[in-house]
Amino acid sequence: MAEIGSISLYIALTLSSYGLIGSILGKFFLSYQIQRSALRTAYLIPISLLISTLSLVIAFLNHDFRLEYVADHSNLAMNPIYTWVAFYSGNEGSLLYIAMVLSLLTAIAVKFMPKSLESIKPYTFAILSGILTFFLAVMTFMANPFDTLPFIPADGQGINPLLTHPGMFFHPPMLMAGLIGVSVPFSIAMGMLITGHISNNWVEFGRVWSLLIWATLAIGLLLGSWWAYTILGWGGYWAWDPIENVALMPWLVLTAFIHSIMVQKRRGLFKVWNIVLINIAFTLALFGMFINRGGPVVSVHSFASSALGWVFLGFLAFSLVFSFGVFYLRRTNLKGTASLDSMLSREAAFLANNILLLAIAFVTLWGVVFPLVSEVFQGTTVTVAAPFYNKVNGPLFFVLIFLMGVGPLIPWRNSSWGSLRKAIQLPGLVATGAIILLLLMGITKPFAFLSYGLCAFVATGILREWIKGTLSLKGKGHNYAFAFVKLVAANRPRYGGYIAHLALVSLALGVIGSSFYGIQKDVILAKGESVKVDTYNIEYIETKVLIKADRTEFLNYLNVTDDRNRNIEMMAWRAFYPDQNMAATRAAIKSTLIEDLYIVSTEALADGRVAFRILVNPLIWWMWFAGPLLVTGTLIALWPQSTVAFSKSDYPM
Amino acid sequence: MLRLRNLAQPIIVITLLTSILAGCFSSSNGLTIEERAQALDKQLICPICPTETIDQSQVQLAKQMKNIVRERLTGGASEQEILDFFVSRYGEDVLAAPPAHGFNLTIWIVGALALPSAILILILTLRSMRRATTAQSPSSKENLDISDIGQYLIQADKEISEFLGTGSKHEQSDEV
Repeated sequence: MAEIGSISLYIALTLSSYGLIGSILGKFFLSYQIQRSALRTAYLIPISLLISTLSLVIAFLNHDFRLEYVADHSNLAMNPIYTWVAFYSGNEGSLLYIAMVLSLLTAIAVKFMPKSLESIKPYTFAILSGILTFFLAVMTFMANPFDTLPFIPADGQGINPLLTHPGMFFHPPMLMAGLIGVSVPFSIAMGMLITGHISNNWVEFGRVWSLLIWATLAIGLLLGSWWAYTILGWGGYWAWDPIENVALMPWLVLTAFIHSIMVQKRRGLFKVWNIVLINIAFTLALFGMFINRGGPVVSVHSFASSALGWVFLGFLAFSLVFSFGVFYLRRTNLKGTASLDSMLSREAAFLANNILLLAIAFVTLWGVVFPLVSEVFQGTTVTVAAPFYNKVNGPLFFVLIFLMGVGPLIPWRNSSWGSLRKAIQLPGLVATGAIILLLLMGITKPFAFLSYGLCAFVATGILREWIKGTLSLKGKGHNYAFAFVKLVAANRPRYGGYIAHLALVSLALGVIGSSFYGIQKDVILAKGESVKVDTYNIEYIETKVLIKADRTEFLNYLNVTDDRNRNIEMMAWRAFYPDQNMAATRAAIKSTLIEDLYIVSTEALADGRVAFRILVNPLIWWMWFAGPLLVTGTLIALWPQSTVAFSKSDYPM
Repeated sequence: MLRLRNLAQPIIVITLLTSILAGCFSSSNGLTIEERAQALDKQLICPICPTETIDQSQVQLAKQMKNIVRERLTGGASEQEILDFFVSRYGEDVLAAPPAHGFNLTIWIVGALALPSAILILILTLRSMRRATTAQSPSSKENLDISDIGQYLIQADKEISEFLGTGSKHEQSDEV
């Protein structure tokens, strides 16, 4: 079976190279036949990669330890449902997964490319094939998942116990799909740039793709945070680790892009800017995959330590030269019709949002590469972790939330200070009220109550627009529900965007609450001992020990009494995996809308006592709630709208 | 109602200013040893598990370092003295963020300049776009008021039904 997978990998590489060369030659010799035959590979490559994928899955299920990859990432005791996770838990498998996703996305993009983009299709396809060829070549020649061992081990190394978590079923595949997915809008923009016929035709198609990829990345990041929160045992969800940062940066730039592309859609502005943005997003996505190449979790310290790192760096440099080279050659075609009517307009607000998001991405990138810069210039290594990013990015995010509140209140084209002042009056009042209320409640940390004030500002601005719009439609004889649905349906990108904004407010609630008002206590308890944390009384009852094939589990039972004298039994899970010499934990979490009580058992002492870390994290629930909200918003924004002939309106709504 | 409107802005400004001042003075003192220790835990990297602070890490060394932090704080040492102690022992990369002196100052300067330079770039870009526009053509300036959403919807409906000539009242443009 493994041979079939290996062969079909070579077939995919051959097809993909043909797709690349054929598209170029076809265009060069103006041969429609060659072009068309090259384009057909788009549908054949996913099939052959699917065969490779299936054969690797079957190798996992059959415990075919002849394959080095299978032996390294699974063992006989592994539950077969974790095959899906084991599949992409290493370098080789994750490359196969990425190639598989890219080939599928390419096929979908080629299939559904609108007629108006027919002329750029060969170029877009050639670029996508080029990227795919790179991944397939790297995989077959440097990190082949079908490489065999000279002997057959009796049992495999086993899967990393930290990965046996439901979050791992979706977090890595969504992040990897999101990162590689940026290739599609990038290739569309580049294709158009190469033809030199710069038009707005690509805008809608590019917008749909980038929104999908943006949401995929967002959910991937959020799931990763959830995974870290429940399993890593320190009670946090985001550590500004290089690996997290490199996934965040393309997301930030894509966020800028999905805003500025709306300006081009509505007003025909920012033509050049949008191409620059998607170039940056793609470069950062490649950078992210390059940093990731050491394995699923590596630190900056393994930078380019393997030959694979250098190959990725080379490809990154090539793609930078290529994309900005094409951009430079076509600069004369790009002379845009910049017509900014006023400094105070939605366009200007979007530009502000763009520049701020880029600033955050840039500062984050600077933090990621600074250890290397330091090594080159001063010969010493330094660590750049959370304290740097919190200090520097914290205020930038603060301003970003402010813009999120003001931007939607400014109409397109032109506005006046007077009308803006009128528009921010109600949200401003509500925000002030919220701040007073928070101060009375004892929330006195400036950054916390000011951020919450801003959150109230953003939410009020959005809710008011909804209420006003609904009421004015309701005045025409609809009931409230119908009027609201009609309002949202009338401008899906706008109201979907609002829901995404609310999702970010929800996220901010959790982040601010837990970073400023989280309570943390590390305790060691003997049986029957109890500790008081915040309003909770926590008593350690007993530990049950279960011996499993690959691990020993410790089930630590606790009895928690809250301030209203309600009893809850909680269980903090901990296991030791002798094969990997690793411990894994699963936190006991009692989650309410107000706060999480979080208990994790950090150590079992020799004398029978158990060490616990107990946290009370305010408003964390709202962080996870942001996920479904964001998906809803994106789906609404994407939902196709029957295009009406009179789509050229420049009104403020 | 009118009076309230006039009062709104001063109220907002005054509340914000007083609350910022109040917040600045109320926080920062009265921290317990454990709270100070936890803050320090988050600034120290565990030397044998890169990118994890001793607050995050569960290895034995991190636990020992945490104990040292608590012992020294109880003994009256300042935060800086404790950080210096660990730097002398494990080198500068034990700190979770580079100290702001020497070459390492550059990382902080770039960080601090991010917002001012973003604002500067924004203003310069907007001005050049604006200049290009006025040079091109004087464009029409409709000053539509966002707060009159109801008025606008009625107007839009009217225009749309005129355009379609169908008289359909509730059709709307996708670009509303």
